[in-house]
Amino acid sequence: MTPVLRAVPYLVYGFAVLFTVFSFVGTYVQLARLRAAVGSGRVQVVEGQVTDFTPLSDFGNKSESFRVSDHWFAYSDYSVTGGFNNTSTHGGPIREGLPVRVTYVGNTIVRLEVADPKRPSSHTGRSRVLLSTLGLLVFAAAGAAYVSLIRRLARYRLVRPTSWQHDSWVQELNPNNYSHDGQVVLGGFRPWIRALFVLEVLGAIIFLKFSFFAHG
Amino acid sequence: MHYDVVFDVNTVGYEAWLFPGGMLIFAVIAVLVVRSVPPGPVW
Repeated sequence: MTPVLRAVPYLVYGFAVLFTVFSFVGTYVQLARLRAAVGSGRVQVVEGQVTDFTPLSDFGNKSESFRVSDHWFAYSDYSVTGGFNNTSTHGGPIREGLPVRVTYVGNTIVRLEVADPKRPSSHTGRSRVLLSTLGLLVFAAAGAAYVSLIRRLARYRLVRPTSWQHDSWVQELNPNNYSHDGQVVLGGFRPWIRALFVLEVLGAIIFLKFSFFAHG
Repeated sequence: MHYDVVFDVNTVGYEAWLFPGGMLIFAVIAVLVVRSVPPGPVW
């Protein structure tokens, strides 16, 4: 393996760690700033009916917006501000004509209250998006863990796999393709491999169910 | 008029840790399992 190829996993891992750290710091600083503003009473409140409501469209408007009295608010699920950003397209509670009381800092909603008891539960829509994302993450993570494990176990293969993708999982799990020691090691890891397969299938089912079959 | 609170910046936060926390635990377990494969013969 060339030094460049050897460095790839470290680069990917390093990028993932840096991305996570920067994302956390960026969002946490905004959240802390908003909470400090609320704590010191530096907020404004507007109350009334939602007007000029424009929903987010995944292929058009990049944000959802509405007006209460003379104040205009805009936000998007894709823009994390620490404040309210759950659009109705993704299960949020805002509808045209809805009586609301909005507490805000600048243009960021820090507290949202609605007064329509018949409103659809925003929790349901939110949960659907979260579960769909969770399913996809479980699917991807279980797949990645399986590939990593099989690559390690390939040390015991009788014939060295030529591609980084190796071959079909039927071949990867066939004990006849492993040395005698390898068959023992492979046997020891079978419970983990089964668990990863279960997670893979479960993740796919959860993702598909909450992405495409959750309406109505 | 009675209002229901649907969002409050002071009560959000902990659920934001569920995904990264869960993924981190999964990643640590996965790395430990993968690294527990004993060193084998080198071709």
